[in-house]
Amino acid sequence: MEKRRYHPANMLFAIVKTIRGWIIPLIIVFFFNNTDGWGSYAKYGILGIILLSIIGSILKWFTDQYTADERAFHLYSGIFSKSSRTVPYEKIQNVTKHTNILHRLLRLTAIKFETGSKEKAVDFQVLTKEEASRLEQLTKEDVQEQAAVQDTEIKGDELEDADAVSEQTVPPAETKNIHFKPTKKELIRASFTSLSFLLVPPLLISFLLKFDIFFDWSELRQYLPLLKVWWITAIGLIGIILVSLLVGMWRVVQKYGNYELKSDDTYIYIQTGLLSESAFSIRKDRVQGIEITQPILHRLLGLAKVKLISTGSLDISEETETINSLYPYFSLKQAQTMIAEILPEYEVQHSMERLEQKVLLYRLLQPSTIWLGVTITLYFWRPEVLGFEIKWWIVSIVLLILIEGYRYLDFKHTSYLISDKFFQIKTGALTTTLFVTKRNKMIEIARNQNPLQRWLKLATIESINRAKPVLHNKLKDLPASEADRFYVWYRQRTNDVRKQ
Amino acid sequence: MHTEVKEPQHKLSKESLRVGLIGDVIFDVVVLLIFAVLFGLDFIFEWPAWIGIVLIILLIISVPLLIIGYLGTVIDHRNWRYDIDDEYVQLRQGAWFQKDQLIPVTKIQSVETKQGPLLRRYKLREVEIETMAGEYSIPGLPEKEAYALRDQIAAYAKAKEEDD
Repeated sequence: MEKRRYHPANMLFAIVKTIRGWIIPLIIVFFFNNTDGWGSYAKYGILGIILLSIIGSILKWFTDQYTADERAFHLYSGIFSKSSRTVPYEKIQNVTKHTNILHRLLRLTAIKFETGSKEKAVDFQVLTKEEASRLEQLTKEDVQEQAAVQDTEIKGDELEDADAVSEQTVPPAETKNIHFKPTKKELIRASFTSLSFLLVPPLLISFLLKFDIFFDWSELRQYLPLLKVWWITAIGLIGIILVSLLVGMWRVVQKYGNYELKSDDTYIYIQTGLLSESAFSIRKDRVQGIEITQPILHRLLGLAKVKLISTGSLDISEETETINSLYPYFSLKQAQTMIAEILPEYEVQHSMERLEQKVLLYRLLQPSTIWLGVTITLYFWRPEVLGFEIKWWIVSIVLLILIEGYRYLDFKHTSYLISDKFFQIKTGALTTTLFVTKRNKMIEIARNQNPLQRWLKLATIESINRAKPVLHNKLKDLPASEADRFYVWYRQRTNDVRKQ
Repeated sequence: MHTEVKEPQHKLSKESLRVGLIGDVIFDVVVLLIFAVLFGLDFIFEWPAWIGIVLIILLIISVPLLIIGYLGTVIDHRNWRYDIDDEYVQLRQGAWFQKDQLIPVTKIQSVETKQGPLLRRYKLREVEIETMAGEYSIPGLPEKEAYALRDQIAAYAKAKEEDD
């Protein structure tokens, strides 16, 4: 197999990145520093650093090479000390592609193959679109071949993902179906529910406050009487509201205007972004779990965010946030049908078990360190705000009510389910999080019991899943007998894992 | 489905309790030495009176804490349990605050044994297991047992699941 160099544009991107990283120091030394001794040294120093890193990135292009054969990536790097690294395709957890504006101008893209919690990802920062899809296809073909081989080996086996495997004979490219693509109406609704238009007025104010170097507040004063004319004020207000709405809409359209959720038999594909595109693909059996979060506003509007938990990290580049979440403005029902469609192996059950009533009492009666701390501090310190002395006991009572209310909400939302092959827990007071994972995806479990819990026959259980960083999910104060059942249940996980 | 939870059976060796207690003694000696040095400095440089008072209060507080430390070592040692079979490593710690861990052997990435000077004196070794989620150690096993355990875990851990 012939070793290949990375795309030459890698050098250009590295240079752009270096200059962008040093642009602020550069401006400072060139424009805000007169030639008094240190300034000129700093100038040469920074120019030297930039020059060195540019030379470095050019040398790197000459030395770094890669090949991709049927089984693995082979990466060769190092200017002085050479190193080579082999990454088998089967280690790949998920693939992310990212095309920023510079990529787009040059018809290039970036692709990253995530390999696991501890290893470094295989990262191609600049390459042609054809090469990216060639590499992606290579990694996928390998998996499919393996799956086909296993298919013949495990016929008649009642493993849960056997059905996903047996459908392998159909080429996945043909069966790719689109599950969701937001319509204009849905985008408009999303831009309202995202509430990002609320960000504009505070931004405007902080902008005004920061940029008063360009104008004088005292000059503005003469225009103030204009606000008394009602239609001028009205037009102004409407203008601000319109701008806010437009900005909010733009933010949503920019992110989700091009959104697509697709899947075939083996993979899930997510695509977002209008100007700079991002794409994410993950093998269905690499999904470590699902998280459905509902912040308080989402709950009021009946919306839900769905996140796929994956072992590899999900940030594609510094500029983008994680895109493992499905469209965040699904209604809860829509989200659940979507999960059932793309991950048929996962069942999200609605009826979950609640904690016992005595747990509420046990939790409400626990001393709160925050409350104690604040109360004691205020009792001795008694600060004054705007000339009023704050009555320490009022603050104390209000705080206690808030804390107990929070605990009550948390108790009310907490529920769990240990079903045949799934573990489901829901927690959270204001933002609720429902976490669903399969027994064979949990890499470890733990059970804790403190003296009070022992007395009340309660226990805490913890599930640990692969993710970056490792994901710990705790469920506190469930009946001790249930914790034991969880333990026994986990011990039987060997029934649904396939050994190599 | 409802079988009883099998509790881990293996305990730590008696020698390891001794090592733990010796460790406590060394720690206490160091703490007391620090106090002695501080008191000495206080005496020589005639620090303000309140420093002396604070030091005495700290000393009074720390003495029972040190004694509780011995008790804690004994209790922890008594309640430490572990068990290994061809599918799981099971660990249990603590008497008051009990912690049980269940680790599938397929998720173990490496096993090693370690020995510090104190452990060497008593021919003990610590077995350290690294998994995808973190590191766990079984402290103070007799050398032979530790090596046997390491080999056993290593043999079991050869099995890998398809996902990994």
